[in-house]
Amino acid sequence: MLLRILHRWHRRFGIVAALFVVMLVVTGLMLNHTDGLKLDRNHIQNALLLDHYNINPRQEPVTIRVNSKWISQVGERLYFNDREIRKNVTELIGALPNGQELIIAFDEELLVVNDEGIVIESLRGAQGVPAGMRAIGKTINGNIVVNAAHGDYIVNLDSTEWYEQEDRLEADWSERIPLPGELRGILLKKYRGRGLTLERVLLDLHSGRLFGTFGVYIVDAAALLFLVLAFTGVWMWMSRLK
Amino acid sequence: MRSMYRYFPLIMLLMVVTPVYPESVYQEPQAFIEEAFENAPPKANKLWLTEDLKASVRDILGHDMGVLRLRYWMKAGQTVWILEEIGKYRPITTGFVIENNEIKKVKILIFRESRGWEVRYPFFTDQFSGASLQGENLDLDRPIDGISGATLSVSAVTRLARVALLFHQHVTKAGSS
Repeated sequence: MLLRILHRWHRRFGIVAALFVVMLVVTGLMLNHTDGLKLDRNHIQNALLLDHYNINPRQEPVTIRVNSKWISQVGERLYFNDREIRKNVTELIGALPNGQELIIAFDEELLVVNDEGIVIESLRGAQGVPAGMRAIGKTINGNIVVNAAHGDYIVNLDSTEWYEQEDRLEADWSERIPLPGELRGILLKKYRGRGLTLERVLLDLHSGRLFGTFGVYIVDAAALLFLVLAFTGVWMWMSRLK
Repeated sequence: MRSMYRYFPLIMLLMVVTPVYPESVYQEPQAFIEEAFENAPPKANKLWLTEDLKASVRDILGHDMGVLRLRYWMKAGQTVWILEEIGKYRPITTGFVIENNEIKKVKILIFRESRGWEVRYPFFTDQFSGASLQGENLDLDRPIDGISGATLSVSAVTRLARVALLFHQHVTKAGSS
C-alpha cells in the first residue's frame, strides 16, 4: 500500500522535476563552456530583458561638440560620434581640436584621436599628465592648458613637456552639454545593447534570480524535490528487491 | 511585473554592470621611469606601430594594442616601457626595463582587478629577469610559473613582457640601422 502511494507521488514529483532538470541541464552545460560559447561577449538586445535589468546609465549623458564631431559620455562609456572608443570612464572632462587631431580629457588620461575617431595615443601619468585633472582648454595663443589639482599646466603634446603655471590662466575651457535628442537616442540604444551579457542571464536563470527572490526559492524547492526523488527512488528499488 | 523590480537592485549593482574595483597604485609610472634612469630620465620617444608591429602585437596579445603610437624612454641602450593589458576586467599597468634584448626589471605599477594582485610580488616578477624572446612565435626563452587564483593576471603580464621585448628589439634595431 505504502509502496503504491510512494510510487504515485514519485511519478508526480518526477514530472514537475523534469521541467527543472531540462532548464538546469541546458543552462548548466552552457555555463560550463562560457569561454567556448563566448557567453560573456554575447550581449542581449531584447528591450524587455534590458528593461527588466534596468540597464541604463547611472548619470545623465553629456557631450562636447568639437568642430563637427561629438565626444560623449554615456554611463562609463566614451563615444566619438556614435563609435565607442573607451569604457570604464568615470568623468569626461573636456575635448578640443589640436591640428588634425582631437584631444579628449577624461579621468587621469588624455586621448589623442584622429578625425575618424581612431585612437592614436593615450597619455597618462607616465607621460606627465598631472594628477587631479579638472579642465582642459586653449589659451588665446592657442596653447593647450590643463587645470589640475595643483594649478594650471601648459603642455606641448608633441614632446609631452608640461609647464606648471604660477597663476590661473585665461583660457577658453572646454564645456560639457547635455546630449541632443537624436544622438542621445542612438547612444542610449548602443549603451544598453552592451550592458547585459548572455552569461549573466543564464547564471540568473540557473539560480532562479531572474525571477527575483521568489525564483531562488523555487529553484531551492526544485533541488529539494530532486533529493526527495533520489530517496524515494532508492527506497522503492530496495523494497522490490526484498 | 513591476513589483519584481524591487528584488533586483542588488543584483543589478553587483552583477550586471562590469564590476568596478579600487585601483592600487604600487608605484607611480613617472617614479618608475625616474628610478630606471637614476633620476635623470631622457625625453620620451614616439613609437608608431607599423603594420608588421601591429600584426606581431596581435599575435601576442590576441587583440590590437588600441593605439597607433606609444611613448617610450631610451638612454644608453636601455629602454623603459609602461604598458597595459586587461587581466579579467581592468588594465594592469606594468613597467619594463630592457637592455641588450633582455628584461632587466618588471614591476606592477597599478593594479585594478579584484583578484590576481599576487603578480606584484618579486617572487613572480623576478622570474622575468634576463628573459628574452626566442623563435618565430616570439615566446619567452623560459617558462613563467603561474600563481593559483591569478592565472589571468599572470598571463596578461607575461604577454606584456613579450610585447615590451618586441618593441625594444624594434626601436634598438631601427636606431642601429
